[in-house]
Amino acid sequence: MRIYELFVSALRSLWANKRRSILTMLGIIIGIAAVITILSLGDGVRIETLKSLQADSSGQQSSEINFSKAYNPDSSNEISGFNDNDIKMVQNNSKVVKAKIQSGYKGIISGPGKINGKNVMGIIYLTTKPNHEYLIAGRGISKNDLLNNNPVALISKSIAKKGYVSPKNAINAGIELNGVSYTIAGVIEDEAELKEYQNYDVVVPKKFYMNNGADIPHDSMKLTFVKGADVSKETRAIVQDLNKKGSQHGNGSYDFMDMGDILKGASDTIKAVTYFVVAIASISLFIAGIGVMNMMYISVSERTQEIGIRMAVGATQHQILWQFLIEAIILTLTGGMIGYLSGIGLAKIISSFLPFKAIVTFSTFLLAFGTSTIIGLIFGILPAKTASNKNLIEILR
Amino acid sequence: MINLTSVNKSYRQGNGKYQVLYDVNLKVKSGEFVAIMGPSGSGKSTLIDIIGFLDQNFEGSYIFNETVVSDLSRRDHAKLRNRSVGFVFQNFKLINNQNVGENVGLPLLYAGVKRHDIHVRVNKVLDQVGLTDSYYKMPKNLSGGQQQRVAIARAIVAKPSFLVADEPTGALDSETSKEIIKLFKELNQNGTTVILVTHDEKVASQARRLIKILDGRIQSDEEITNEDL
Repeated sequence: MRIYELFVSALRSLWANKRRSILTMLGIIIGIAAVITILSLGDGVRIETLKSLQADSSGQQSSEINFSKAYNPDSSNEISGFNDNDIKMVQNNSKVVKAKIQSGYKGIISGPGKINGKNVMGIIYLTTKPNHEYLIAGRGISKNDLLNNNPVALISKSIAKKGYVSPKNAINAGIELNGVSYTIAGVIEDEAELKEYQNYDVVVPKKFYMNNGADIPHDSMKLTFVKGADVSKETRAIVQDLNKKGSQHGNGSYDFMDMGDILKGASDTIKAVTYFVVAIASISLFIAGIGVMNMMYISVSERTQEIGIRMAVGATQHQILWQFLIEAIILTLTGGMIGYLSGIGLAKIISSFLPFKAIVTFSTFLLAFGTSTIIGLIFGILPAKTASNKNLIEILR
Repeated sequence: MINLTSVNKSYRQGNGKYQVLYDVNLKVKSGEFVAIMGPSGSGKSTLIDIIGFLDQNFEGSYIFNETVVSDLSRRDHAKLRNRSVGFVFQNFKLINNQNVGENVGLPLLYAGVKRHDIHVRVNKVLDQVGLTDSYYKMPKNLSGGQQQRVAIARAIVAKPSFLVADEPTGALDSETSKEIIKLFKELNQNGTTVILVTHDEKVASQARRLIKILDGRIQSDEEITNEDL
């Protein structure tokens, strides 16, 4: 018998019991649709998360290399970790679209200072606005100070104590920062902080500080990559180069925060959650499979006469087995494909209400295809075996 | 063509054995028209199941055209059934949700014949049994006699070596029975070997050879010479 004929006759007998076939199929449709919806949404979340972790607001992939100065008591000055030569070297990497030196400066830098002959390391807040915050003695930095370029500074209580024993004594005394003398205008609390996460213990006007030979160190380099580049790998290679040949490789080290590990972790977590939910959804597939088995058993016992007739005209056991098996597989496969399409539709509809897009990959199609075929095989084989093992003489009498 | 030598057949019943056929020896040549007669329970149906390759579970030897039937695998047995025998049953045994043409074409389907060739052949056979233009009719819309004609068409569609009929007129009235027997005779005259089982004298008298069977043993085996029609 031709395989084509097996399919034709399977389709016909399914068609003959339309209602039963559709109801049985419904179980598979719901199961597969649930799994596909979850998978596409899960993939959507995962890809979206990776994108947002990896790319900046304009969607470009970038990374940042930092230079940290080695501790050196002799050289008190901050140094820039990068210069133009470094940029040229980095741009030799074909994956790099743009390399830009930038300062890690966000309003606060650290600088060496001397108060009453004692060395201090100050965390300096360079202010561009009048500052009266956290004041406990003296006055703040006024608008006039900024306008007139007055060399004034606010220092913390503990620095004041270190230099002049009490905060009061420190007022109007001097402090040397970066080799330049400032008048201590006021004393602030030790707990002074900027935006709740950066502590500082010295405040000076930014303009004056900059005008007096102090440099805001360029200690980071921002790299932008071509689309699809393995940012983590490329950056690692560049960092290695810089540590060998970079302009300041003798004075410190270059490093970067490897987003790869973080990304992988995030991706793995989302995947695990997705698979867990899929596993739960798969229970419905199992139940649907039992429904298929049930229907096939009913079908076999209803069609005992037909099986007998087919065997009497020369159908082999194999042909009978395949006839019923193919019926089961057509049932589950059709259900699977309908379920796949409804799953995609459902995921698209759901994701239109969510901030990310559902992603349908070819592998989910293969999954739906494979799963539904396997369900048909597993739950169809026993009824089909029952059909093909029937005793011909007993059926025909 | 058919050569049965000391065939015994018994069923298990509980702990005991219930023997249906005792030491049956039977030879049928090509072109014969044989009637097997006997009362219910005489074993005639069992015998015809063995001859028609439906039953492989027996002792003794059955050689069909040099093929040792009892040695065949289940698969080859099914193939032999498909190719060499046409079976006609008392209650027709048609698949009710398939049309006449598909019922008749079934043996060819399992023989692997192409759909188009099946169609052509089926129409030809339907003509032969007097059911022209019935391809797309459903069996339930036909009379008993017509249904049996469909069954006969199915039995001869694959051009088998012989035809086996188990009480082919058992479910038909006498008028229709006559027509069906006439059809068998015509087929026989065209060269088809026919073996039929019946307990109806009138049907049996139409055959050329009559085998009487009782309690699983062949009682008599004789030529019939009457030529009344």
